[in-house]
Amino acid sequence: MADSSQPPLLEARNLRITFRRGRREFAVVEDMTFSLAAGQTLCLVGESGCGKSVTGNAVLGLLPQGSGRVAGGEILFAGRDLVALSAGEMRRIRAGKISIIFQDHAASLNPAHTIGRQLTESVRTREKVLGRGVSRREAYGESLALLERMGVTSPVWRMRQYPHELSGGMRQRILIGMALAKKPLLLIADEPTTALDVTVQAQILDLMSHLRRAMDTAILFITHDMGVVAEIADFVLVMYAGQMVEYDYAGGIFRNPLHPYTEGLLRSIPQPGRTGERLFAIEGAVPDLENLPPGCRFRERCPYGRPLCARMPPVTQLETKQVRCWRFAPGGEKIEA
Amino acid sequence: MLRFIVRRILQAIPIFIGITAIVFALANLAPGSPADVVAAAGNLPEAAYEELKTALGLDKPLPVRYALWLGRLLHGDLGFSSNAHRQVWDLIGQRIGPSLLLAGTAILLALTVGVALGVMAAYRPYSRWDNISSALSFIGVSTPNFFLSLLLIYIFAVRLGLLPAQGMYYTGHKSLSGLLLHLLMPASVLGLQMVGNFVKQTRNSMLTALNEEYIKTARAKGLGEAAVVLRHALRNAWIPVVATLGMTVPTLVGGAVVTEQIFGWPGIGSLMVHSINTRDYNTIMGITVLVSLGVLAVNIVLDAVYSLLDPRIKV
Ligand SMILES: Nc1ncnc2c1ncn2[C@@H]1O[C@H](COP(=O)(O)OP(=O)(O)O)[C@@H](O)[C@H]1O
Ligand SMILES: [Mg+2]
Repeated sequence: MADSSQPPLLEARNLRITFRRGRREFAVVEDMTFSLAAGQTLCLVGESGCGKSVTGNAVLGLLPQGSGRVAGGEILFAGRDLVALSAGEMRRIRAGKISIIFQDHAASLNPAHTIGRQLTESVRTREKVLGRGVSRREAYGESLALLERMGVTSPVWRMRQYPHELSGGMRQRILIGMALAKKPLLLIADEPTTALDVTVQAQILDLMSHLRRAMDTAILFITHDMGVVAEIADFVLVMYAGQMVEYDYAGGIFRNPLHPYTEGLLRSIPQPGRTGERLFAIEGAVPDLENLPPGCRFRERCPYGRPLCARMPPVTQLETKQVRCWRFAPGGEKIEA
Repeated sequence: MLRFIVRRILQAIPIFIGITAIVFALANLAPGSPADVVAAAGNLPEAAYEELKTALGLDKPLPVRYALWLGRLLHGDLGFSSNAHRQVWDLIGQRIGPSLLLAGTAILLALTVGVALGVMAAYRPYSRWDNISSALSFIGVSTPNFFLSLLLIYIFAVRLGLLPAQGMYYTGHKSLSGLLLHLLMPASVLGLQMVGNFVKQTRNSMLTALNEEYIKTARAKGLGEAAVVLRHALRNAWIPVVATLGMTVPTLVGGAVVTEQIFGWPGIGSLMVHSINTRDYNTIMGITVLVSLGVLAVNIVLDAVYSLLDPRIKV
């Protein structure tokens, strides 16, 4: 359903990701298909535990070694399947093509290295893996310029500081700077604003949209916050319990949500001017992915539940939109009757 | 930082006085005195025996003797060895070099091998390397020092004739290669005793470090595994290893006494054994002063180093 005018930069096809616990292997992401073109932002949205981070990590081969793996499907980046890459080829992608920012800005920076060291390391690794060289001086200068572009105050001083000496917003700016040091074609941002307070969150979002316009970077933005989605998304993929449940242009998601889970997420956005009211929250919790009941995974929490939902709903294509719900499946009514 | 060091030194003073007081009491309360040793060597008339005791200051009560000894110590006077008839300072000065060489080599050996094995064990838990390193640690911790020494002497000196079993140099000529050959066995025995501690510490803290989010960041940068493991994980993981270095120093001192004795290493440890046998109070106390000051100093220095390694710790 992606924009057909541009060839996709990133494309996931029937992606299936599994984890192993003891002898058992269970899927945490299933049948995920999406695509993203240069300069566009795709938001993966869903509650915690839906498989968003796992999907983002899988793109860069960062699933925990030994327990997590891509068990099926492909992740195409500029036409090449990332899942099949050798370690050396993956390093080249990581060093100069795709960047990732993690949610936990406090834990994502090495506590024993200065900011300067971590930033210049990104610059130098990019040049080294791409077979070029860069002197310490050049790498330092480039890092300093990055900090300035990230809106970091007194950058020369920051370069000598350690992560614990900085505020959360400052650390997140530095992580974004480190990610952009690679001049990536694709940026994966895994809840980059979740751990920040609202003002800082807005600043970081501004920074990201500004950078996107300036650099034409594609962004795979992971969040559970529909308010954030509304601000930055071109496309939205709503995930529930490891599956896509609705996928559309941002406008289609916000003006015409079809899946009951999307409806629920939209009703839980705090509305300006409606303060004091109790925030809506979807009842219940995401089912345990290790022991999924058959049928629609949202059934337990769905206000429209019906007998047919005991069977897994197919994905239905409606103009620009894909939705996984029996209410919109052609013949859904007939089967039930 | 300076304030921290000064505070630690002030804290160390009562500990130091406690240690020396206890050792002083133990040495003096043990049956036999320097006068007895002299008396046993030849026929000493009763009067001469009493005179000797007075000359050595043995007629006064124990607390007074300790106070007098402490007073002399403050003037830098460790006294005279009743056995070697030389200044204790000279005696120690002669022996300290070989001891430091042996202990330093042992620590370096144990740290290198222990950290390397610990890193490999943590990188691939339950692999062959992990098993080898836990077996080695177990042997090191559980085998008595003397047994291991004798075993090595039997294999490498007696059976294979590869390594010298006694002393520091081949008789007649001092050469570096000779020194290294003599050093190999005693340093290995001492090192093996400590290696288990370093393996365990390194493995634990590496396992923790490798699971940290910043390791994922490092991989996501496109760094190779060696840089990820050494530059990012080990840089954080070896901080607690340094902390346990201080704890191994007493093991080292105890081990050195036995090992030096067995390998005839001309160090402080064998001097200590000899001084105890001959009730050479001043030498015993001199060594006690030296060792306890050394251990206290090492711990203070390590704490300072620790805070330099971990930028989050401010002292
Ligand atoms: N290292 C792991 N080992 C086992 N299961 C994991 C691991 N990481 C994530 N999971 C499982 O994968 C599912 C999706 O997790 P995640 O992608 O982190 O969710 P989200 O980012 O949407 O909050 C969760 O059910 C979680 O339990
Ligand atoms: Mg997540």
